[in-house]
Amino acid sequence: MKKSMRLSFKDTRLLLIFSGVITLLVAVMFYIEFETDRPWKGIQRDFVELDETMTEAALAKAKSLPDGSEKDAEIAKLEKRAGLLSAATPTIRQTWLTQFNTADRCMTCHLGIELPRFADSEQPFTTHPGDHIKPNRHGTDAFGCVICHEGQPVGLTVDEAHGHIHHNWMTPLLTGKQSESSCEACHAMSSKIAKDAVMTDAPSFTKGRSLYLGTNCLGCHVADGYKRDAGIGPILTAVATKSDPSWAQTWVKNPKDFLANTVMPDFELADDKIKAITAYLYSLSKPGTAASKARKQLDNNEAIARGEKNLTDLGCLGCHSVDGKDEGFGPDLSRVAEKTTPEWLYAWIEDPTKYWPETNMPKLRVPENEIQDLVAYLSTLQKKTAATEAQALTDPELIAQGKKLTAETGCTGCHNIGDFAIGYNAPPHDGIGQKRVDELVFGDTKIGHNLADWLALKVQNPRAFNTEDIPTLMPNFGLTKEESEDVLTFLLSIRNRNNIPEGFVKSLIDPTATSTIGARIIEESNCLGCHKIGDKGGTVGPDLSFQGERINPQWMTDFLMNPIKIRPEGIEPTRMPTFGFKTEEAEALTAYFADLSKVSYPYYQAEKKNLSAEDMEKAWKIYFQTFSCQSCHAWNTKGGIIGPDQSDLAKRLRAEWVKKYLENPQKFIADVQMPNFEMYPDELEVMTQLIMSFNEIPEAVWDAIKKRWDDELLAKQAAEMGSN
Amino acid sequence: MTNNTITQKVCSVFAALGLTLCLSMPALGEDKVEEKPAEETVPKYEVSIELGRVTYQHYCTPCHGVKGDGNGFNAPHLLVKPANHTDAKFMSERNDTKLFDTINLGGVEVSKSTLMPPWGMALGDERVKSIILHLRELCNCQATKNW
Repeated sequence: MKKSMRLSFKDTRLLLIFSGVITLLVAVMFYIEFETDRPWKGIQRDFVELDETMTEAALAKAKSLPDGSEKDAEIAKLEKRAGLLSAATPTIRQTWLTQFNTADRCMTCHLGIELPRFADSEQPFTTHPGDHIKPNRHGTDAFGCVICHEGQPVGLTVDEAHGHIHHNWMTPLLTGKQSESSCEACHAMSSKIAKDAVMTDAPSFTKGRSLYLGTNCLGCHVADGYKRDAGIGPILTAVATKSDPSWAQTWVKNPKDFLANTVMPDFELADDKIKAITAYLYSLSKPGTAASKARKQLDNNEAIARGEKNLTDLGCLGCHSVDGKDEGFGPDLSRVAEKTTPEWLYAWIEDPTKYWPETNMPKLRVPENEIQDLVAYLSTLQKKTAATEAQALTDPELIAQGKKLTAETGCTGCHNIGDFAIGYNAPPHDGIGQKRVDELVFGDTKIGHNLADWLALKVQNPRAFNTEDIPTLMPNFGLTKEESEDVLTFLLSIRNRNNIPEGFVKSLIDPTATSTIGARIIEESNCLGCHKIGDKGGTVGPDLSFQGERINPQWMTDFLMNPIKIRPEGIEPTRMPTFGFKTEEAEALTAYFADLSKVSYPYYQAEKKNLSAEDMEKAWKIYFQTFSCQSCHAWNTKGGIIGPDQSDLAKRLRAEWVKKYLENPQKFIADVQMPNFEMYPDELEVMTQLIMSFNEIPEAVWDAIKKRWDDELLAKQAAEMGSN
Repeated sequence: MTNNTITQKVCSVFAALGLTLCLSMPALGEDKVEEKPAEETVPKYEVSIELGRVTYQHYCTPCHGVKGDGNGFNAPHLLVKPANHTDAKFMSERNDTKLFDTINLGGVEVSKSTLMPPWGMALGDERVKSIILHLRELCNCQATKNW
């Protein structure tokens, strides 16, 4: 009995085996339980539950429909779905993206992503917004989710899949606006494309790209595929002829205080450093002497009034404003007299490229007296008189210190100064969209340790990460939070995406297309400040929408390079300024206008028909008598001066257009001072042929014909007077 | 084989997508001027002396002068001097119907100088009638004869 109570060695072994088996069983049960209840399974169960509720509700609703085949079909559909749902078993949903050689399991949890009925559901079940993942666009079978949204697509927990599990994960999930940064990999938008070119479905990227290029980030940083500009800030080698040194110092101190929308950023420089830089800049040139030519009309109220009127009439307001809002293409002029001298203004208006060869400001080609009027008016535009206290800026030590500071600060990123080359060696932006978090310095900030948060703050407040040991030099561009987020979207797009298969690369805008090049030149020269294209643009100059079918391409190219005034001087002040377009730019614009009008380019040959003597007579009668064209138009300066001289009209206009225009001038230019003569088709035909032959008529022949009709008119007039 | 067809499919999808996006790009927008029907280009106006003043300034003053005295900047280039609209005697001899016809159909239709073009089609009745109101203001007169 006693013996049987005692555990023998054999029994102990049995017990050990037994307990071991129990432990193993428990472990296996736990393991099975764990395996069968992975988080994604729970999510899938939730999804089935949600869909069952929705299907039930839909079924109840369908049953209340009026009887008919529609109702039956709907009920059948819903019942089939309910059946499928009740039979559903948890499965990992994996798509193998053959073209990208990547597995994508995101839809294991994001089950409603393609089903419109989940539009109002919460994540992870909600439907994808927009129609981006429609099969004919970026269908999930080809793109999965990872190609646009990054993350770790084989992960099956939220943290693993979204790539936030470790702050060093190279490609964390991109959501919201940030996912637009992936479009660029296939739909390249190089800097050859106009800044405001729109990638329709990527508004944040588009805006960010425009800000990135517009604030000239490339002046200091380099980025693969983007070209550094020739310098977007004014040349500073002759600044002493333009502004007073005390103005220059207040400007550098806070540029946006003077011009609300200037690109010039705030360098947060101490006063003594600004003084040194100013000393250096002013050591490069000497102030000009007072010139009577520039000051002739100063303080003459009549000239000031004429200048103010001309500012509108010449189209200056197409780019500049004088209301202080500074929302135009060029700087606001409401405080221009604080900044510049009359001598500089005169020289600048006369030929801006003499001071700054790369400027966008065109040459206005206005006579001396008109420049004097403009200078007189502009010299009245100031809010306060600048304090011109004499400062000792000639100290060679100060100048040397200023030169050193100029190079360090990064002024050379945007400005041409002395013998410095344009540019600055700020950290390159190549691959910035995938910069490793351990390469970033977070300083004393409390933001999330990830690239996106770091970049967004860096753009908005560049010195936020400064510590005593690590100062940074990037200036503040005064971007709003939203603007910084858009720039962030753009910056995230600069990442290495070498896994894009060939067939997927598809530029939405072809950088070599005429329309792209034309659109870029039109943006850079701000043509829409004065001209309209479609329903956008100003009304100072002619509508450009139909110039392709109106103007002979050769004439257009010549005109763009060397604009002339078509109407006589003195009739109206408006004239096309000289933008100094190069041949290829002028040709690109001509081609662009031809594109807009859908006419052929570059080949154009007017169809010529020789008129019979009878038709000729008919045409002359219409010209000189019926409609008296000579009362408004001159031929070789003989005749009216309201419309353009017609002697070389054949070189300027296309014949087909002349005919269309004569038929109804107001159709093209609503307020044109040319009547609609209601000509018959045969009249239109002979008139077009006559006008298009004007450049071939000898002067003596013209004079003789004109005299005949003049005599007839005078005789008729005399008879009329007699009868009265 | 299957791979190839997928590639082709995806490519054509991309091409179609690219094309649609390109076409919908506002920056490269098309010219819509031509699509308007001709009659829409002459907007509807209401007869008023104010409209008459504005219209006269824009269309008539190059020949008839800013003051209406027939001394516009284009007048020296005309064989027959334009009418002086401030001449009360001259203007009172012309009734409104006559003025309307002259402006509307041009000098040639009323046996006057052919140098006056027909403005009816370009301006429309309302603006022509408004100009007449302004003409009466300029000459400070009314028609005395009914011919």
